[in-house]
Parts: sequence; C-alpha cells; structure tokens
Amino acid sequence: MHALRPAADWFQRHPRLALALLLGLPLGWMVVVYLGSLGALLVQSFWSLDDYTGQVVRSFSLGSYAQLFSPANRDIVLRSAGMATAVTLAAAVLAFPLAYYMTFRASRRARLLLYLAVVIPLWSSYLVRVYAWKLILAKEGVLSWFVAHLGLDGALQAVLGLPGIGGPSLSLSSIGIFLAFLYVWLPFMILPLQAALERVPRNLLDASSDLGAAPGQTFRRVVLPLALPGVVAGSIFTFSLTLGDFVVPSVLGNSSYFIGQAVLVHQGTSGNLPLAAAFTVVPMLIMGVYLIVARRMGAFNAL
Amino acid sequence: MTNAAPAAAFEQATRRYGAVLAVDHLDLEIRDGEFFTFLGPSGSGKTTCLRLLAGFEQPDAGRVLLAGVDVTGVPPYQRDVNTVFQDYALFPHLSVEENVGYGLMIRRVPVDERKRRVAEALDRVRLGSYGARKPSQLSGGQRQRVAMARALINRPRLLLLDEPLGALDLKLRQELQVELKQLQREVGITFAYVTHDQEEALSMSDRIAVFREGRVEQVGTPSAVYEHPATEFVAGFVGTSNILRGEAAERLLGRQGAYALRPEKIVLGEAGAAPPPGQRAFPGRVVHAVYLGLSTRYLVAIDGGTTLSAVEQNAGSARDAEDAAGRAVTAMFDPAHARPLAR
Repeated sequence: MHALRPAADWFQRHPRLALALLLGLPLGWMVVVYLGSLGALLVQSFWSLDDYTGQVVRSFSLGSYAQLFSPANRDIVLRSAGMATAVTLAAAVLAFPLAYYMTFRASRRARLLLYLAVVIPLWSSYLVRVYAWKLILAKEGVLSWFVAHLGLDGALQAVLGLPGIGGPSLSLSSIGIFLAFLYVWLPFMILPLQAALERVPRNLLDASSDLGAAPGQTFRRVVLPLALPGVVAGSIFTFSLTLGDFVVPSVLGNSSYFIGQAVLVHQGTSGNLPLAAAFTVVPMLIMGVYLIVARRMGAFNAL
Repeated sequence: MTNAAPAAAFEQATRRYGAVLAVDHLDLEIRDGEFFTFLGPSGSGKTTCLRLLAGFEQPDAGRVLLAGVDVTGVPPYQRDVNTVFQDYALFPHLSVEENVGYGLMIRRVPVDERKRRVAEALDRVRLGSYGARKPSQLSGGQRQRVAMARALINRPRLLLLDEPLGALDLKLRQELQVELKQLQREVGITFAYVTHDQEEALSMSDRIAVFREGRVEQVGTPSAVYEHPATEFVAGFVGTSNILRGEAAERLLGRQGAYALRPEKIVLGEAGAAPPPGQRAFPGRVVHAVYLGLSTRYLVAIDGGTTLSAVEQNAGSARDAEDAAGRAVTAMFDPAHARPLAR
C-alpha cells in the first residue's frame, strides 16, 4: 500500500480541513496582498497633505479628490483615459481578425506559429521594446525613412501638424505614444479574444448558415456576441495597462503627463501620497463603471 | 409523387479527407416526402452525406441535387434545407424564442408574423411556455424539440437530422421516435435521417440506405433490408444473422454460396423432435443462453460443427436460461428463410 495512504484517508474524512489547507495560502495572499494594499490605497486617498509642513494628515478629507478636478490634473485624467480608449479600440479592431483567423481558418501549424508570433515579444524586456520604438519613430528613424521612400512625406507632415495629437516628430507626438501602447498591449487583447473564440462551438456557425445567414450575418449575430466576454476581458487589460503605464509616455511623446507619471511624481518627488492614491482610484472607477455597463448590455450573457 | 423530381440526389458524389474516402462515388436518390435513413457504423460516411446535402461540405467530385437542381458549390445559406444537429447547436446567447425565430429574422420576416409563427412552432413541439428561457435552462429532450422547431419553422423542402436522438436516454428516445415520425407525416416534409441505431432506422424509416466505408451496401424498405439483406455486412449490422457459407451452407441448406439466416427463424425443439413439413431439423446442444426478458438468445452447437444463434420469445413460462446450457435440442428452420448474400 502507498505510503501516503493514511494521510489521504485522513483528508478524506476531514474535507473542510483539506480545503482550508489547499486554499489557505492562495486565499491569504489574495486577501492580504491584493485586497489589503487596495484598501490601504483607498484609505490613503482620503487623507491629505499639509501644504506647509509637507506632512500627510491622517484624517478624512476629500481634498485629494478635489485636487483631481484642478484644470491640470483633469487634463491628465482626460488625456490618459482618451489614450486608453483609443488604444483599446484600435487593439480590438486589430486583434479580432487575427484571433478569428487563428481560431477558425488557420491550420494547426499556422495557428501555432501565429500564437508564438503574438507571445514571443512578451519574452523580451518591455523597456527595450519601448526604447526600440523611440528609434523607429524618431525624426531620422526607420519609419520616416520608409514613409519618405513611399513618397508620403507630405501626408506624415500633415498628420504631425494636427493639433492635439501631432508634434515635431512621431516619437515626440501622441501618435507615437499611441503606436507604442498599441504595440506593447496588443497581445493582451489577442489572447483572451482567441480563447473566447476557441470556446464558440463550430456547429453554431454551421447552424446559423443552415438557417440562411450569410457569413457577415453569422459573424454579427453569433460570433460577435459569443466573443464579447473575450473582448471585454482583453479591453480590461489594454485599458488598465495603458492607464497605469508611466514608461511609454516618459520615453515617447512631449512632456504632458499621463496618470502613471502623475502617480510617480506625486508619491516619489513631492511625497503627496494622498493625491497619488486618488489618481490610482480613477482607473479603478472607470473599469468598474465599464464592467457594469458591459454587463447591462449583455456582454456576459454567453458565459 | 412518383413523377416529381427526387427531393435530393447524389450523382457519383465523392468526398475525401486526406487519404480517406468518406463518400465514394455515391449514387442515391431521396424521394419526395419520404422518411429516408442513412444507417451505418461511425465513420461509414453517413454524416458526410448529410453535410453534403446541407452544403457544409462540397463534393470533391460528382454532383449533389436538391429537387432536381444541381446545388454543387451552393453555400448552406442559399439552400432550401434545414438541419437538426446531433448536439442541437442551439445559440446559447439567445432565448428559445429567438433561437426558433432565427431563420425568419435572417429572412426579414415581419415581426408580427414572426411572433405568430414562433408561437405556433413552439406549441407544435409542446414548448409553448418556454419561449423566454435560455437553452441552458432546458432538459435534453426539450432542447431536441427546440432544435426541431427551429428547423421546421422555415418550412424547408428537406429536413436533415443528424442523430437527433443520440444524446437522449432510451425511454425518451423511444417516445421521441414516435413523435418525430408523426411530425413528419403531419408536415409532409422529406426527412433525411442519420443514425447508427438499426432499431431506430427500422421503426421510423420509409427507406433505409445502409452505409459502409463511404459506399451504400443496400437501399430498401425496413422489411426488405431486414428480411433480404444484400450483403454479409447488412445481415450483421441490421439485426444479427447466422452467416452460412461453404461447407456449413452445403450441410445445413444443401446449397452453394453464402446465406444469412436470422436467429428468430430458427425454432428449438426437444431432442429428436420431428420438423414441420418443409423445414429442416438438426440435432445439437445448447452451448450458452442469455436471458433478455422479452426473449432468450441461445447459442446452439449443431452436431458436426456449425454453431447457430437462435432466439425464442419468452411466451408462456420461459425455460430457465441458466439451466439451458448443455441441453440437447433440435434446431428447426425453413431453408427458404436463408437469404443468399451478394458477398
């Protein structure tokens, strides 16, 4: 008889204890590290900073939140949220055809190769890849060289001349930030989307076609609704990763701040932990509202 | 009905998967209004035939015709056929009503008419009050009926059914077999039905095509296929048969060639019993007996070599199957019941 048999028997007779042992560590980690730090963050966002002493005042105050609505901070929030929205939409549009092809059309081999192509960039350092984009997008960089050879220099200049998103070069513009964000976060949209499509039974596509639906109608009526949880999952990644990032907008773009940088500066340089905490609550609020709206619209009905 | 074009036809239709010939130069006609069954073991090509009719697959060679029109290469959504899938393929994100009304919605049938017809279709399958539910809230039998309603509401010329009762338990399956057959008579639509269950095929079909390795072994009415199996495969797949060939055929039947003799055609009498006129009798010994409730199946070793399978109804007081082994018996049968086999 196996040496572990007595232990197994004992656990069999004490299922609750077995469960406690099994879940204790991961659950403890979740509660203490995740929820605990989240709670600490929330509490700190309601403290305030004494302007004269520079000390954190540990009493309830909505001051930090009020500060969020100052014109400069409001711009940071809107800029970050706008960028996150743009990146998420673009990622969804780019990821859908690829994930669809991987799932329904590609051979096993092609699917594996595509999967590797999506994942491999994640193996290299994120910093290196962002700096690579700085070189690609620089005024004398690869992209402008390529554009010039296509004879599209005028078009590039016109785009860079656009107010708000333009700049002296791609690497110093919001467009550059957008491209780099889109590049680094795209796999986080493709993977959940592909997983969601993988779960769509093929015979539902047959059934839809059998009932007279042309491929476009099948896509809209069957594939899209069933893939929606995947899109929502992917957009949570791309949206929150963009909102929280401080590396891309500090390497690329002009010097206008994003939320990530604001958090960094407030808690590091100026020691204003309450304001930094209030800033981090913003993405959480946005994601919460987004999930509620998605649920109301039936995005999770297929789950 | 006799001079109408067949509801569906295959002409030298061939479908390959890599090196495997799933359907091999098939010629077959499904008559208008009949309940036609594709019967065969898994991998015999019967489901591929259905997929060729639906348009999910296209033949590598040959043609597929629906109502006399060549539909080879026509996509499923342009064919006047509907399918009931093996696992129903109900849309999980849509309600029962929306599932049933899907075809009408796609064809832009006005909402009023759509509602009326969906309600009718659900009533017909006795699910009138289940319209607002999701498929996940239904039992297997209910899902099956939703799948039927979703297909029939479109009034197709031809309804394709891919083992539609395969996932249900025996009792429910038998109930739905009767229901399906009644439904087919009511709506008057041609049914093309795929199953590997020979009992199901025999009880429901007007005609059966028995498939083996992508080819049709035999086409005929249930009684023709059962009583006159054309090949050894059919004799063994549709019911069971004693296959007599070579020396056994000569000794038991006095004939050359290969023959199928159904176990229920063999009557077991007491040892030394005299056969009725026209029948032959052979002394033997029961080797094994299996009590099946309705009947008892005996394996009888005929003196001199051959072993025959015989089935007796347990009418009256059944002899005890457990005591039967070793008993000396006389196996009697009419040699006319031994049907010659093609191969």
